[in-house]
Amino acid sequence: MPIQRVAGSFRDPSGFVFFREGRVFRAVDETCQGVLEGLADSGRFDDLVARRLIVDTQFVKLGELLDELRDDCPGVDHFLEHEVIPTITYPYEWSVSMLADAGIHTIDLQLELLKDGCALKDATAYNIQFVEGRPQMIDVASIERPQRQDVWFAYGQFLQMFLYPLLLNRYQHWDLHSDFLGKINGRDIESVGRAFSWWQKLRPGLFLDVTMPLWLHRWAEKGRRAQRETLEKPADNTRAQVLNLQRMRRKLRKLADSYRPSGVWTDYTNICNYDGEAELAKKGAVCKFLMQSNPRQVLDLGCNTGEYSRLAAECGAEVLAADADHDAIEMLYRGLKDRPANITPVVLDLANPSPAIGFMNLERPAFAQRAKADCVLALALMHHLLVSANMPLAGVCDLLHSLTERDLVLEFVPPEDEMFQRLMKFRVDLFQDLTLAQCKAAFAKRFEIREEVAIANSQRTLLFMRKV
Amino acid sequence: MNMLPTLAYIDPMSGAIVLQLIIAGIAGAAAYFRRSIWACVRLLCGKAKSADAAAGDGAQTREN
Repeated sequence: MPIQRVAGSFRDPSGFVFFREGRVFRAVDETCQGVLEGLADSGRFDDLVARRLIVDTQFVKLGELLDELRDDCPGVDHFLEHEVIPTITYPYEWSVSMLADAGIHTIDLQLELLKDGCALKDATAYNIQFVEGRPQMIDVASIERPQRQDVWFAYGQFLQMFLYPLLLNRYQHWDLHSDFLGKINGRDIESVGRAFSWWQKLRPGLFLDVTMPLWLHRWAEKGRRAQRETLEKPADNTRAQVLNLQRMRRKLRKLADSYRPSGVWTDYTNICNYDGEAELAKKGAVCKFLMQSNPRQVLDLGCNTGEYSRLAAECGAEVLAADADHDAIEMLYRGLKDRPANITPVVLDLANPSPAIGFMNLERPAFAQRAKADCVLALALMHHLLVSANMPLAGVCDLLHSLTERDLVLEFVPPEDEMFQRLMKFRVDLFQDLTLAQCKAAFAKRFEIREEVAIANSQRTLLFMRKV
Repeated sequence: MNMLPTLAYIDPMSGAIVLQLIIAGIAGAAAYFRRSIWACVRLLCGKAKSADAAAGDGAQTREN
């Protein structure tokens, strides 16, 4: 049976992840299997799964499947099977609270593992995925049994992956998207140090976690002060590490909670030109189309704070909610904590979607390769693509065609619409001829237009289409 | 069970390791000297209390 090895799973020599007949498996070496079995025997492994600290994982026990997997992967004896995550997202698509929660989740798992004499051998943000709006650790092979328990070997990586991007965002207003896209493994301490002025480095919020590690890093790198033997010295008192991680947990929480969303579109729901009746009519039509489509996975493009994503989730779909505005996604994610729903929010600019990055440009696939949708919702989006992103109408059609497996719900916004005019304020009017008929003709080349509903009390029209 | 030395495949960032060793050192020292520190605190408090009491008695005496 052919297996598809996951391209991003190559760093940790203790194993690798692969797909086989739509199921996801992890090959692990003897040492890793020993550590995980130790946890399983004491019941702690099932406990971590039940509390959703780690992704649902089963040991592949003796039997036909194990024999087949051993044939597929010569030299490997042990395998785990993981639950398949609907959509993989990456930190450059997360909002501030999502990154902070991913960090807090990593700390919570590390604190739990310390109780059993185990620890995480790495602390990369890519090990965390969001399922139904909640973080989960997917790299189970990252669990090890270290010699030293007072020091966390992955703490430096944790700072680079979680704390530094949040501090740079908080104090220097750097956006997480550019930071992670530019530095796949997180920004090194020297580079972080250069981003802050000397007086900023003396701030209490930065001194212990940026300035001190920077000074100590420079000191340790001089000569032969950094000795690897230090890390091999057994020490089983976890108290110092626990105290430090609890402090770090509080710090991440504070950084996330003190973030104030102020994006352009976050108050869109209040300023959009729909009155109550039109809003209700639009919701009714979208709901009707969703029932007809009956999708398993929905991609809501330009989701804003997720009103229609929730509607799709209530129809039973797994929803991937995308918007270019970070603050809209931040508000959507915060809303999921109070009212959980099967929605995965992502910050995504359709005019410049996340590219494929990393080793051989294969390690982290492009957004289009990860987004799977039976139905795409493109509500109040068309005018943004045409005006703000300067896309031609045929280009918009091609883009939406490439993102849906089957259906598309498109909201046609005429140039006379107030929101369309708002975007056109200082631009040459290139859209005088844009009519519903012209839009339908453009989309009819690649879609079958199944139904259209004019939204009462507005100039807009909803179109339900299927790929041909 | 893994009894091999921890040599992970990631760069540990020496500054972060040294910082943790310092924190561990401070926490260790605090734990080690906890009894003696408490003894000192109690001694000081005790002394302070008895001094207060003595001062209070004195004040009362003066009032009387």
